[in-house]
Amino acid sequence: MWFNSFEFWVFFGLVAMGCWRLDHAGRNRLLLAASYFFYGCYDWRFLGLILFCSAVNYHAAVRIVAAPNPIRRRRWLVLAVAVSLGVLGVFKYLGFFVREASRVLTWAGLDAGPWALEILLPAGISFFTFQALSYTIDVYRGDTRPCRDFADFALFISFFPQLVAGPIERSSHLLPQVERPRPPCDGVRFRRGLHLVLTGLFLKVGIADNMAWLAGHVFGAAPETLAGPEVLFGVYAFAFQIYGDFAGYSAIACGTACWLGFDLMTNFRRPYFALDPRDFWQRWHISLSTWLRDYLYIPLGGNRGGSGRTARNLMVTMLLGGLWHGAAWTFVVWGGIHGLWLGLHRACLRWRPGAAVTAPWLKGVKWFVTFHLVCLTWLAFRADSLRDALTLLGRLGADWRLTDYSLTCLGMFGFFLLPWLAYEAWLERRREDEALLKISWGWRAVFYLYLILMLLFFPPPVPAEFIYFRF
Amino acid sequence: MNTELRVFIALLLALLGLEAAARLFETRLSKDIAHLRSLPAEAARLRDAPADSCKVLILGNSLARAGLDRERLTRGLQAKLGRPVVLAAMHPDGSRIEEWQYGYRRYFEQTGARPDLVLLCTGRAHLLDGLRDLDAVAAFHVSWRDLPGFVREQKLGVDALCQVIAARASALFAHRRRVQPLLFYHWMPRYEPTVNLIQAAGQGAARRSAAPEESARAFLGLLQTCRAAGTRVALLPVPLPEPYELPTGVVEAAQLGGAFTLGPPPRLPARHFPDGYHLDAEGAALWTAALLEQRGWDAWLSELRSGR
Repeated sequence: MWFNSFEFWVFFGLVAMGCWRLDHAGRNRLLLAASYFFYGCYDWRFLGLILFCSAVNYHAAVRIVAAPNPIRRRRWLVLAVAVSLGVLGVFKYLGFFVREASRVLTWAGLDAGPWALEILLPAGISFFTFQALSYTIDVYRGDTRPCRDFADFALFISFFPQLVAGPIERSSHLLPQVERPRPPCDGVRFRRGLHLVLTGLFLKVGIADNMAWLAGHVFGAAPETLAGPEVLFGVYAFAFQIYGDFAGYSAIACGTACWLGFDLMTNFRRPYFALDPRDFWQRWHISLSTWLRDYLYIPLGGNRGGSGRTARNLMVTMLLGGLWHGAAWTFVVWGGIHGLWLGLHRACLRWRPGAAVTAPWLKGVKWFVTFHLVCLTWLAFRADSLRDALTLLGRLGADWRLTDYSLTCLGMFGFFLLPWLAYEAWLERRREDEALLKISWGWRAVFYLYLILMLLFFPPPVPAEFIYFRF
Repeated sequence: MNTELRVFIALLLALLGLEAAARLFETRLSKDIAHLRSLPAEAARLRDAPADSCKVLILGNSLARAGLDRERLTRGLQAKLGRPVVLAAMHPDGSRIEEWQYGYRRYFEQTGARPDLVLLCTGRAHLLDGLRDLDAVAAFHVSWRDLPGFVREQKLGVDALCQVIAARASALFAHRRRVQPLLFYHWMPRYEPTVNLIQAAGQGAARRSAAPEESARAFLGLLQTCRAAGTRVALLPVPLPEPYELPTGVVEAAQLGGAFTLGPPPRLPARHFPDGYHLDAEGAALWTAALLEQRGWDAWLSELRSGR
């Protein structure tokens, strides 16, 4: 049940109407049932898995609080973390590690034969396991109090707007909203939700799916047949595909949640306007980057202990962040490049501390370099294999002629991306995510009409599924 | 008034205005829509044709529109049948067997405008490929009477059903896929070759139905509808730049449904395909002449000749 399908909106309308008629407890029960129904629509066989993860973490948190001594508390934490990561490891990574082990054994002369283990990947497993993990860790640290109602906790884990592709919510933020009565959908909430839903749908259908069609050609073709501009434009197209896809999903999730009385965290903040890698990670998939910071980077030592240890911690965090996206070396390399880049950037800052960039031309250069380095990492991320990524990289410098595909790409970028980037540039100037809600209603109506007409008249040639459902 | 209510009302009014404009100007904006909207008149021509005439319907898509020389065809059929021929045509752009099946029923079968002869003009894929725009089929080709059967037959889920309802209710929604090609094919640099390139590389495969059997079933359904009303069907493979034969399954289905199948189309020089796909006027004249001369017609047309 995709967010950009009529099916979802019929479902959401029924749920919203049901919530309107019920009291707080009834709403929570309805939302829980709706969330399980929503997840069951992808694959009902994994309903047991999400229930299992919820039960383990709920129980562990209760036991952590009730434990008579720190050792018992730690044991329950370790158990919950091991089970959650175990679930993730089996469903997401076991096939990958079996295949890689088989390769290593074959390479070492121990003829192991090609081992293959194909395990069906449950939708959104990385999101709900991380959300469950953060809850148990927060309870262990004393940052949040344990939830006393299993149904409320199960809703916190499975809340349908953000279940399969985030944002990865913290218990300290979302759980109180589940437990306490929520505000009704008044004029302010309706306005905010409408803005988020319409921009989210445009990002997904107008930008991501139309760019997917262009990017798919470059990453699906034999790399050696492509001209340099084709590779470059294909990577640009993928950069906006993944941004539109994920930011669009997050915006729709926040918008629908807003209409239901919840406030989810902002997951994207105009990432392609970043001026350096740290800035990029403060704008891109914010819920994951802050999760990794709080539960991995800081526990590893963070920036305490000297530049060497900081660089190591950054690299480990980003490598694991890459692996979080999927069981493939391309994701690991993607994380590795980001780790290296963040480390180098940190070293540069130490070398020239407090060097503020004020000149517009210098900002332009920094933006240009950052955007292209991000695109370079997307090339590794999207390529089918590391060999393909290297070949595509090599083709970037070869055969610089404008083919039919390149010219169409330029036209499509101008048509679909430029107006959106102009809007984002305006938001960036005002430094306000919801500046649109503060301008005259007439301009807002014109902007929404543009979004609706684009959705209506410029659907993609081939609808694409949400990329992050696979993560 | 709440400002968001104003936004909502403004959006609603704008969309209603566009809907009205789409309904008012649709036939002026698109030749294809003008053709679709003229189908009741085409049907009326057949219905009102003199009793001694032979009513012939050309069924197909742009291949049929460009590929047949209608005057030459009328003269040739009149000579073969020995009686006047009234010719009507239904050839919406990009249409396939599902559009033909439901469109034939909606505009001709259910309005009492049954032809004596249907010339079903097709390329290699149109009777078998599973490419479908269900909401467009529902909006323009399925009658209200057939709608429940269509929903059942196509096993429409909630999403498809909503799209069908929206397409029936709103011209703006029903026409939405016409705007992008109209703009992009004219204004987007090198769009057409890029689309062809990407489709050839398999990007379009995602839209292809996994089960061409559905299309085959639609073909048989059309043949059965025609047969039940005593309408004869001739299957005419239209020349394409590359030679081809109709798939065996299609020929067998045609035999099963009592249709007459002409042999493979003649190979015509590439200059007769100025856009690489459709015949030009000269090519249409050549093919029309060639198909009238094909063997097998005379015996098959004997019943029509005698006016039975």
